[in-house]
Amino acid sequence: MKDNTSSTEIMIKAENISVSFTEKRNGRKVTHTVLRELSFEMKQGEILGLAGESGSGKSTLAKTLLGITELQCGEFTINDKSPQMVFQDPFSALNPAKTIRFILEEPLKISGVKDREERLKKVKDSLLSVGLEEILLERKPAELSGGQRQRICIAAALMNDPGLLIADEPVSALDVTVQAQVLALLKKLKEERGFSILFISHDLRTMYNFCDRVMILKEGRIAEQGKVEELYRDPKDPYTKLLLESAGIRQS
Amino acid sequence: MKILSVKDLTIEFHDHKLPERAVEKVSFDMDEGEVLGLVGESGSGKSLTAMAIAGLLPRKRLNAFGEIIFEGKDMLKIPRSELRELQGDELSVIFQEPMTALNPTMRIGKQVEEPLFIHHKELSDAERKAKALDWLEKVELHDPERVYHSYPHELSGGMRQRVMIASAMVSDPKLLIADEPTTALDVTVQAQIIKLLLRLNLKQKVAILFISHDLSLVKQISENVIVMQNGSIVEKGKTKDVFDSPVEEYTKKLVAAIPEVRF
Ligand SMILES: Nc1ncnc2c1ncn2[C@@H]1O[C@H](COP(=O)(O)OP(=O)(O)OP(=O)(O)O)[C@@H](O)[C@H]1O
Ligand SMILES: Nc1ncnc2c1ncn2[C@@H]1O[C@H](COP(=O)(O)OP(=O)(O)OP(=O)(O)O)[C@@H](O)[C@H]1O
Ligand SMILES: [Mg+2]
Ligand SMILES: [Mg+2]
Repeated sequence: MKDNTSSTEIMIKAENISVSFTEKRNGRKVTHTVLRELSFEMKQGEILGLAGESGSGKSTLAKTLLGITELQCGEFTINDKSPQMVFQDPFSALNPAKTIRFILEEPLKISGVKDREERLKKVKDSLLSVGLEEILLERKPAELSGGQRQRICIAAALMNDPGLLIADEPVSALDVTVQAQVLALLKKLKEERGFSILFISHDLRTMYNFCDRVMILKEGRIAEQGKVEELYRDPKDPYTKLLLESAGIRQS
Repeated sequence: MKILSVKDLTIEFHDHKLPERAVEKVSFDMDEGEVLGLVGESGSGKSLTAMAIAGLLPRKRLNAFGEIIFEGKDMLKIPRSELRELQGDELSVIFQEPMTALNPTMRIGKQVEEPLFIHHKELSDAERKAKALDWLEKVELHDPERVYHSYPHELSGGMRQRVMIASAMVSDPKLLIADEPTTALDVTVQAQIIKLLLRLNLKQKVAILFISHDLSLVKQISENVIVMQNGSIVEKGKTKDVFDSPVEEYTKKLVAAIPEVRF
């Protein structure tokens, strides 16, 4: 990660990112390219939506930006010291041996909030903000429903006010009423603190209402990107058109 | 013909200071070949109800009361060995979180074949593999051979979800419990999967309990629907009636909160 002070308005700048995986199959090495020379920019304070075919590389891009997955070529800069991620799979992201209280308190301890009372208050407030109740505090992740776990992951990621949140299908397990609540919370935080969100989702309706710009990924390439209203009103790429038609947003 | 009858299902946890009741007096029936939608608030007890029907609730730390009659047997009472006979054969589950249901150290192919190993010993290795590959292809995985040899962590979220669907369908169950089976899929793949489920329902008369928070999906797939809130059923009936003229406060909120796209 390089520090790019000359363009403080840019949150992410990625140039020609390529990622591939090598696996052994029947004793032979097989290479499988997942991201192909991807370039894009994301502005500070922007909500950038990322949609596309299942398996097109959305999660891989997210993990690459956070340094979890290695890239083969290209480069990127991120203008935030501790970007946070909400993983697509909440259960594997949570430590099964710890209580929810511990999981939510941990980021506060790390960032140096010394006062126990203050930490607990923050933990409780964050639970409420994602529509959960205090009774969950002493439970372990396995004792929660899928949507409750997903909200714990969101609460944990927001605990230390990150400047950039990379959220991989963060509301996929939530019913529309709770979804609306969580998205409203994110939008409010964005407006108050100007933080940026890379929002991965396959829900094109939600994306329309939530994002400023969207990128459509297909087979590891950006098929199309643009301002949300423009792209939805006048999609150029055939795959974007197909997606919008399948979602019932456009007529064929 | 009834295939499933749930009567006064109540589930209580005892692992904390106060007993917590997560499911309360849930009753419903399913006919052979019926598709029944189950929607409701996050945390309302949908998955627990599903796990109870599949005989997959832990028998420690919680109490389950009531009756769940499937094929003449009470799933809450029959011994483990009898449950295992039914699971993955007559009845199978697409779990809400594929990563927790899949074994991280076992290749996908073996996992999809597992129900066949247990319930269809007459098949040869080659026949089993052919069946597994066929199912991986049916769930729209582009490169079934690669997926067959992969480990779960080498697949995307939506690919894992489709693997779950394949492994649930491979042994032609009579009852399929699908817990949020398409949450990780893009709309085009989702549409294909819904078509596939409906085709199986039509041709093989698989009954499907379809749990989802996506109302438009439930409208497409199921004739009848149950709405749960806070552990109880708050509304049930024909899907069209329930969503077009909801009676309960929660159902109204649910219908009103569907995001709209206005240009
Ligand atoms: N560790 C890995 N080893 C090998 N292949 C991998 C690995 N991680 C991801 N892949 C492959 O990369 C491709 C893209 O996966 P990715 O998880 O980025 O997709 P996605 O766009 O997030 O899909 P979904 O919408 O289904 O979550 C898939 O073909 C997947 O099998
Ligand atoms: N081991 C446990 N101990 C105590 N409560 C539990 C336990 N497991 C689940 N619960 C609670 O039971 C309730 C129902 O959970 P369930 O998983 O059935 O919800 P759900 O309707 O499937 O929700 P979602 O849509 O979020 O997946 C939740 O409030 C959950 O916190
Ligand atoms: Mg993904
Ligand atoms: Mg659930």
